[in-house]
Amino acid sequence: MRDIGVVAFAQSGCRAANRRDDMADILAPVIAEAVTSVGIERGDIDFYCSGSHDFHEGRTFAYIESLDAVGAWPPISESHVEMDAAWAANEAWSWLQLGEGDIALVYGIGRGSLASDPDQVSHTQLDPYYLAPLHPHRHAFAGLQAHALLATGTVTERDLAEVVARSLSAAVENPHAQRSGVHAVDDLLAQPYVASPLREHDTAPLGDAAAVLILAAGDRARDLAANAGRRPAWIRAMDHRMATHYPGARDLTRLETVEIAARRATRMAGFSPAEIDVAELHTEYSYAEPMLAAALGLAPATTINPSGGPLAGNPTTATGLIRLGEAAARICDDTVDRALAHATSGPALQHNLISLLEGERR
Amino acid sequence: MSERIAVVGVGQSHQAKRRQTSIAGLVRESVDAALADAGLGFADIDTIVLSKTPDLFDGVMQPELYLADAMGAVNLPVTRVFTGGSVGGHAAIYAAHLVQAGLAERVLVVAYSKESEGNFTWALSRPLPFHVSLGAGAGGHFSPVIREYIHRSGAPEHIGWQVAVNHRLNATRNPLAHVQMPDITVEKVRDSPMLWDPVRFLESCPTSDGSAAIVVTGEDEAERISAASGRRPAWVHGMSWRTETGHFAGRDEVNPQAGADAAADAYAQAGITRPAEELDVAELYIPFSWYEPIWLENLGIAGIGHGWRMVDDGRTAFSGDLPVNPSGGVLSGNPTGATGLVRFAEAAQQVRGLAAGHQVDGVRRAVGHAMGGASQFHAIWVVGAEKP
Amino acid sequence: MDTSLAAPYTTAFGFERTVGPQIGAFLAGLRARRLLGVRVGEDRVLCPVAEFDPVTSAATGDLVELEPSGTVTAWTWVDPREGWDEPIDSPYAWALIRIDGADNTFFHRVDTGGDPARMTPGLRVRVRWAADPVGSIEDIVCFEPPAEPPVPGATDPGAEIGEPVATIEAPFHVDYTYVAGVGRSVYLRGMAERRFLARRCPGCHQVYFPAPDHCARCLQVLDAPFEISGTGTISTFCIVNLPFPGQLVDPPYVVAYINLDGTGNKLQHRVLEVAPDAVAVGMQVEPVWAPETDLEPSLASVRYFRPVDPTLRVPVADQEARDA
Ligand SMILES: [Zn+2]
Repeated sequence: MRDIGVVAFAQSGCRAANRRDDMADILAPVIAEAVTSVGIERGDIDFYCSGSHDFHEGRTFAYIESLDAVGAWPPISESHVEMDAAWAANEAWSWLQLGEGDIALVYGIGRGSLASDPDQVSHTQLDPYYLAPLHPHRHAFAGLQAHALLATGTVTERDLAEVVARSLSAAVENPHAQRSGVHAVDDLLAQPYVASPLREHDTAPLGDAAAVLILAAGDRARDLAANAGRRPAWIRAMDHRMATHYPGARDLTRLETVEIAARRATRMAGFSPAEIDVAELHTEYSYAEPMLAAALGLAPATTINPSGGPLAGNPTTATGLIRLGEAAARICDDTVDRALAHATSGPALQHNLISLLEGERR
Repeated sequence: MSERIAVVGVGQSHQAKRRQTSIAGLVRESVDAALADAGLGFADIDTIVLSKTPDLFDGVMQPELYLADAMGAVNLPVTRVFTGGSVGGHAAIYAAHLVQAGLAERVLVVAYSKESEGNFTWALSRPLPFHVSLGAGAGGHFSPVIREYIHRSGAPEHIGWQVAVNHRLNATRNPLAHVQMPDITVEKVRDSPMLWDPVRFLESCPTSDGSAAIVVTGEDEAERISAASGRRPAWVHGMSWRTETGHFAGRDEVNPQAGADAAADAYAQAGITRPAEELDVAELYIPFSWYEPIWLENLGIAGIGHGWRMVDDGRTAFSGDLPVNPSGGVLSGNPTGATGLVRFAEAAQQVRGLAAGHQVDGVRRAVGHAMGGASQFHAIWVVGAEKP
Repeated sequence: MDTSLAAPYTTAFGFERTVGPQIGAFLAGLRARRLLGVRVGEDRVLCPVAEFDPVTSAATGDLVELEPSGTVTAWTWVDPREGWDEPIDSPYAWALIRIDGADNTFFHRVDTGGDPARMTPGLRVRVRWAADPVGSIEDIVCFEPPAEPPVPGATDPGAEIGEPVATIEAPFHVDYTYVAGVGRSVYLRGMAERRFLARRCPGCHQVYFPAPDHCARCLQVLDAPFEISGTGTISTFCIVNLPFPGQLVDPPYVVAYINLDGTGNKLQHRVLEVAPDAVAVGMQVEPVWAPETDLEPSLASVRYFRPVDPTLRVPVADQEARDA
């Protein structure tokens, strides 16, 4: 495997409703920030890959409009996933393995605010015959999964409130967070349910933001990172796995896909999730944190979501990519040496991506 | 290329308005056929790439989620790519990259569209605030580009009619093709209704339901699978994709640089310097008949301004020296999410000698091409009967 | 102005899905108020009827009839949503229900009369059928605890299961906000004032109309807007001959790519007041504005373009002039 590292990460502030910018305008300054920070020019980038979804943006071919922000002229080598942009990072990482180029730019743009009622969108990603026609509440499958988890007796509602309190308090230090603050667990537990046992604060607030990662290979990565006074966050492993879809066909309390992805990532990286310092998890719900931590086998001392995580801001298809960026940033700035990033897609954690990252001594 | 890549299995559904099946059922037809061709089972597949055009075409968001069981994707990595109409080509190339990168051994590429569940034209031209509704319709984007091509090249108008006849006659050799018009003639095309002048009804593609799937592997696997199945693989000799934005001032959409660059890159990898002579068959993304000469020129097969002469001289007809779209092409069947992959798969079948009724004799090398957006996304691969 | 135009709009469409034989049979069962499952593998039964085994991906097998009753295994309690046409008025549960005789669970609503305390693990529930079943998953309104003591004759034997259901309706409706962006709002606001506001790229010096916020080739923010005349040259065009719903002008009519004088990109618009077969590449055209009362921040403020040369013009039919 070629050494591929994250050398730059930039994001726009997650806003509950950006009514000022179109897709390309949210994205363009974020791309410029990432590119400028490592001292390269557009022409130095060998490959582009992005993630977004039309149903959030409300336009057919929304992704074509975002291309105006990357300056695809002269023509570029480029691909796109109609998913969370963490999967675009996965594609860019595999592309760099080919050795046909050294620098890739990955971007994700998420517009969670444009649909007035997110419940109108969420059911469209469900089984079109048995689930979508019922128009379940958008938190319904999470509520079921959380209920199933609590029923095992390993996690309590108080544990979930503690996840929320810790995440929002961590987000106070994150200038990009949409939601942050210091909350007493008892105050949180006094709030009403939106989909029992989940309360509003247990759900990630939808918003608008863009995120950009620059990946580079080998010495080029070292040089680029050095230009910004950083070190590369080497992507030692990436793996992703999909579960069956229908929630009644799954054991909702067990994340087998995460276990498989973690196992394979461990083999690839030479170290396991138990040996990392920081994990950025795509927790669109508080309950996902203890579930993921258990499935990954994280050590108790692991710092989880120091950025505040998605509970502090969830710009739809950029949210998973931001996890990768936040995890990498902790390595790039020497805070930690090993980190894990997780991204998810689909109802009740159906599809999960794991990445293990590592810094080297400078 | 670092690792040799091959296509060892190809499956396609019938292209039509498929009103007897679910989305999963439609997808599964091709998946089963591709696995059977390769002699593989679900347990042999380690990675899946899904190709589909906009989700508003059928109203199902992120269909890879619901299709997990139908694709045999449970506990596998699944990526859904989307680059407009070129997506099937992008998906095939991404699959090849995964094998080359050592991240997968046997990739199943799946593509489909079930256009009949919704309305393609509506999805592409919904009224939006601050936009003017010009009533240009689906062909309103491409037909001015065609007019510009005709204006620049001085091509006579019967070229468009002839391409339509060639492709529809080819389709009669392909039972999976949607449009079957054995009695088509140049006169019938000429006399068919003018939709978007200069484009006539019979010079336009249909909208279809359909699916396609291929299995992509590296060299060792391809040899093992091929020895077991008795069917030879198609070897990838070169592949490339390029994108340009559709909006910038000064853009040439008749001869988009992205298409020319992608082709030049793929030919260079394949060691091809004279594509018109070194390629035996081309499967090109031709949704309106005039795009045959446009792409022949753009992809470097004909000189600029001369693509139409290849049509006029009969060189691109089934019996010509470089048949274009022997399958019947997009003009004979257009399940948009699968259309690009069908071009790539048909090129593979030609070099495998498995194109059945539309097999062209003695094909050693073929090119598959997919295009999307405002002619701004291009994917292309050159496949051969021999190892590169 | 550093603000963007924004406006609400709705994307709505009535998709119609074909369901295939297995799902069609299951839905036909529901229409007859009967619950079917399907055999998979050696000895498992799934309800609802899946097309493919979620464990092995194999095609599923024979159908079996099941009692429309089961046991709740997990649930989440929710309130009915404002503005949604929900079949239950009071708060209810989304639940997973293990149908008697099935190995998986069924996702649907459970109605306990608005009382969350009645939701307990292992709660026994029965299907409440819709009054007018049509062959859809919604033929089950919800599950509910059976009456205690059982009402004699309450068990519905169901009707004869007819032909498999072929299609279901799948309405799609999302209300969105459209944000034009600060950049594009400049030219859009100009349109409402009968002004063509173009912008130049400081990088490549190309002039854009319509102008985004930044150049798609240089990525530089475009310079301040300036007014151009709005006259231009037809770079290419098509003649729309095809009648289809929603057209504002009767075909045939011309839709052209127009290079406005002084700009480098193309503007798509109608060209009227000219016989379609007299339109040519290179023809000079000028804008015809909508009346003051119809001006809006949109290219629709230009009703159409027409030849600059008055000798080429023919009167627009009244209908077209009114509608365009
Ligand atoms: Zn410029």
